[in-house]
Amino acid sequence: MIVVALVAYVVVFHWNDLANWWKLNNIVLRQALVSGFLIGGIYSLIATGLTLIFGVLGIINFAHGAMMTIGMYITFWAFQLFGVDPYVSVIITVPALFLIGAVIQKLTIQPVMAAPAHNQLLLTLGIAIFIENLLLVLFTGDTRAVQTDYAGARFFAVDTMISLPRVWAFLGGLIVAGILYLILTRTDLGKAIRAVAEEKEGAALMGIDTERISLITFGLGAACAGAAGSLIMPFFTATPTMGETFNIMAFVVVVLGGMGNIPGALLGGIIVGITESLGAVFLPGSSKQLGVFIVFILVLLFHPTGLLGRRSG
Amino acid sequence: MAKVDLVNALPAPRSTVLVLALRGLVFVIVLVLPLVLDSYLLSLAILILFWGLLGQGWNIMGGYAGQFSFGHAAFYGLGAYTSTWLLVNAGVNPWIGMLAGGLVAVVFGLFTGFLTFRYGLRGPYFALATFAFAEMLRLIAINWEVVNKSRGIQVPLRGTDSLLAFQFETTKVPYYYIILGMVLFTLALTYWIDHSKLGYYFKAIRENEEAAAALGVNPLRYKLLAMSISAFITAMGGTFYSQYLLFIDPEIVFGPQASVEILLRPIIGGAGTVLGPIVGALLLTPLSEFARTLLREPPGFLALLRGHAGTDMMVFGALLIVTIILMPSGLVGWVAKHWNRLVKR
Amino acid sequence: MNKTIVLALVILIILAVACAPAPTPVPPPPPATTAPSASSAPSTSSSAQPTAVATKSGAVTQVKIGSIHPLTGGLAQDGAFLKNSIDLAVDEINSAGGIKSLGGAKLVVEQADSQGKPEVAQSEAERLIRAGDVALIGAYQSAATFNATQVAEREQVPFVIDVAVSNNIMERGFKYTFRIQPNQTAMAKGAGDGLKALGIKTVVMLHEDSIFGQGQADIFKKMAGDYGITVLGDISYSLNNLTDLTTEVSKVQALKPDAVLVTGYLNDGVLMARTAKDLKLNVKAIFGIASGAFSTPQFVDAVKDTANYFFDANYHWDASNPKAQQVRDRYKAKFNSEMPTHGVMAYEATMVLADAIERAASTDPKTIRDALAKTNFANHILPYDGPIRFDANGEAVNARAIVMQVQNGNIVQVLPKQFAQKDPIFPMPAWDNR
Repeated sequence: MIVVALVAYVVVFHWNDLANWWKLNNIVLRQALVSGFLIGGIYSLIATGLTLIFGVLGIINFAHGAMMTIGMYITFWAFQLFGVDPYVSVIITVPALFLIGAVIQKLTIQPVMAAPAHNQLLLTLGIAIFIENLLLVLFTGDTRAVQTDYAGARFFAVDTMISLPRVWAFLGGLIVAGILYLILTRTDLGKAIRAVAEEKEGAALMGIDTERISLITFGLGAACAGAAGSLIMPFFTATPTMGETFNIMAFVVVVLGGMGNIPGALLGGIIVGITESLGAVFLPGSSKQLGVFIVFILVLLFHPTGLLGRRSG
Repeated sequence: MAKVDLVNALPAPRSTVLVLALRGLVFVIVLVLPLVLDSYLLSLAILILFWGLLGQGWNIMGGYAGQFSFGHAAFYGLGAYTSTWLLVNAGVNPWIGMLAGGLVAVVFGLFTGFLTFRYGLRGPYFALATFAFAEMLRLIAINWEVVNKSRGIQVPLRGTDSLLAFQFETTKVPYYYIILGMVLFTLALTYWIDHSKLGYYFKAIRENEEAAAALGVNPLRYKLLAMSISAFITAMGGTFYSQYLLFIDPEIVFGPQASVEILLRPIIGGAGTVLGPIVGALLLTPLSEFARTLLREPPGFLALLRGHAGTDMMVFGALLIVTIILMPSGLVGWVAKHWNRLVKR
Repeated sequence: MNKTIVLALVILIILAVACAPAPTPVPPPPPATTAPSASSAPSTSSSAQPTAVATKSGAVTQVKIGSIHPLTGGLAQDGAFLKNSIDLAVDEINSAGGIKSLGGAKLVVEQADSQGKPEVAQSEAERLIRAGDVALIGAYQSAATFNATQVAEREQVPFVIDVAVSNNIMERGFKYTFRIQPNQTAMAKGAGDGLKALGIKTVVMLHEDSIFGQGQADIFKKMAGDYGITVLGDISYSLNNLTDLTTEVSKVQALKPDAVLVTGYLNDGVLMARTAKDLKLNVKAIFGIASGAFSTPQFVDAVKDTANYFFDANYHWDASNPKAQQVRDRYKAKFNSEMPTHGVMAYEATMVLADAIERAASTDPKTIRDALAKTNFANHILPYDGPIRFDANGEAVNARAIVMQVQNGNIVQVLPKQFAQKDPIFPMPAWDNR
């Protein structure tokens, strides 16, 4: 009753204020939805590799952001030294990061596969510290940006801005996810990966070399991070710690979508992106991610296997 | 999860005079340390004990009960903010504030624990949930005028040293003894838990929750208990930080960096062991100092790294990686495992 | 034997090994080898051991100072600028004959890394003082500076703040802390004067949410009325996990202010500028207050043409002073990058400290502190209202912020008149016409 009365009061006596507020927020709201959708696509792109590693190896990989940063630096230097377009440099970053990821897995992750989960997490933190400071030593902390003609390309749907490089990153993410999905569902390698993800001991009994599969999976995950690094370089700047920025949101996306679930990562990314943008409209101060964490916890509590994951007992 | 319990793995206690004498020696060394250390080494010693205390807090829940928390900054920050806010705004004595902070942290722990345990979150899911709770507190603190937003809270300087007021400006020695007392108290508490039925229940839940439940242990109750003890100790550490460094802000005490720092040492030292957290703290601080010293005046073959910022952190990261690979159950676990070989050759 | 004890011994050994390479506390301070100081403080005992390496004859050959900045972590870039600038200043002092009143003793600086963590800044301050550093410079972040100055105060070693903007640092009545740069009130004043001169009536604040951005915005909001400025909105963002500013900037757009006032660091400044361009942010001015981006060459380098017409009220080198350009040229020659504004502050902090040591003619921290308090340093390259002098709290009284603008890819001083190199271009042209 009170609510209805209040609403009625506002509508009747403050119609003009309300109309102004709506007009104002209408633009902001539409813009928030669009840019949230696009940044969400970028979260998905980064989370794709992470969800694969999480799903198959069961590891919270805190070095994922750092591996993406390597991709960003490769992209930057390829552009700076040889004029390679950031989008073209995907063909360098993907194999490079696959190799780096495989080496990291072989040298550091494999030995602790049997150790408690907190060891693995701490290990990936150590790897992240190592990579970030290696980049700092090699390239200093200077902000690196690539200058392309299309960096500021955008168009306006009526009054809502759509940034083209972000659209390309989104599409690139879709392609990456699509290729990964095809590998997982259509190839023998994919079947082996899924078997290891499902039941490791069982897969080993069936003659699958689980160590090799773990290696390849980590490499694939790292390659996705590398691709993400290239695709976001046109509109982001690279610093050694840049990857940290995306780590947390990528984890939220992975859990939201269900671990190991690639379509889930897509959906999760978009939900996180839009929730965050709407948070920037409605939540006070700089707390725009509060909404993301609330959604995250609710999903964890009520559907812990993720939005697209199967409900397990 | 293969956890090695040092104390239980010990051979039957032989109360020889030698053992007692050595124990006494260690104790005496620890007691007289501040008298021989200079200011810098004393502040390192205080930091070691401080991180040891926080690690012990984490260890009860993360080590013994096996509930891997990645968001202990929540308790840490609640402790720091409660006591400091009460001190600044209501003139409440920090010692009382410390208890109040502990209680606030326990209430928060029970709330989040009930939610997460009730819905059966485990492993990485539980870790990420605790992380999310800590982040939410950080965001709230940054945007809440009542706690001074990101400007943080400064502990007002009194100008005099006072144990009652928990503040010393001319000397740090009392801080050493205060944190030493806290560490010894939690050490004793951990030792007691380790040897009591409670510790047995915690470990049973850690190893196999279903089996523990089948044996009549109520997992929810004991997990919440572990959470409460853990939260209280960590919050005490928060108050100590605030009274020692005299300034807190949301990023320092609620930030993800704090959560990481808290769990780093107990895992390196040996999660789920009495001495693990303090051993980890003793190991890690000298480790980073070592990396720093090494690279300040690098030996010939490392000369090219000289003068580059970040080399010491790089080495630190590498040492961290190597330690975790070589000592999967921490230094304490490693020593226990290789004990026979070490002694009998 | 008991395992516990073995473990304890192992750790003690590790401790011993780790600490061994650290310099052992130097022998007691050399007897007064130096000229009598102007104001001789009663020499109460301090755990600090002010030392200098002395030859047999008792002459001082070097004077050690320390610097603490975030050399690793998210602020590593800024830390490197500050570190390099101090190195440059020290080199110049030494090649000009060192500290002449100490027989040409060389200045030696030890650069410490705070890792951006307050407790590390604190223990590093302890370490540097133990190593015999007679004065410290630092520490860039307000929280780290709080703790490092606390140590310096207790150990009675002077601490010169090159950059750390929060007002409260200097409000604790410390005797050993001095700050070169203008504080947040001076920054807000510089911005207010500039905005008033441009005729701006309405603004929206957009800032990062730490003590730096939030604190600056809070102070400006309190003072806005004095300049006839209405604050239409206050929008903040967190640097943690900052991936997008589109919504924040479109909120600014919707409030239709004359100007948006921005306080933040370099990377978020770059993101903000790119987003403003994308959204065609329709304001008369994009105006930084103490921005870590808008008046730095690094910002212009990162966003190129987009940087044009951006204002920033900030500390700066005095571009109308030819000596400033020489310093910047030397920096570029030495480090192969442009010297940013905060580098200039670190450079000046070192110069002011060297000047105090020169006048103190002593390596006793207390004597240097007294000399610092009497600083009257006119030969600086900052656009201040006179020589660098400190008030009772240690704040630089003549410190002020001036307004810069990016014009044609160059950062030029536009306000106030006495420091202006060019006229401000205002309002900024619409995005479609540039």
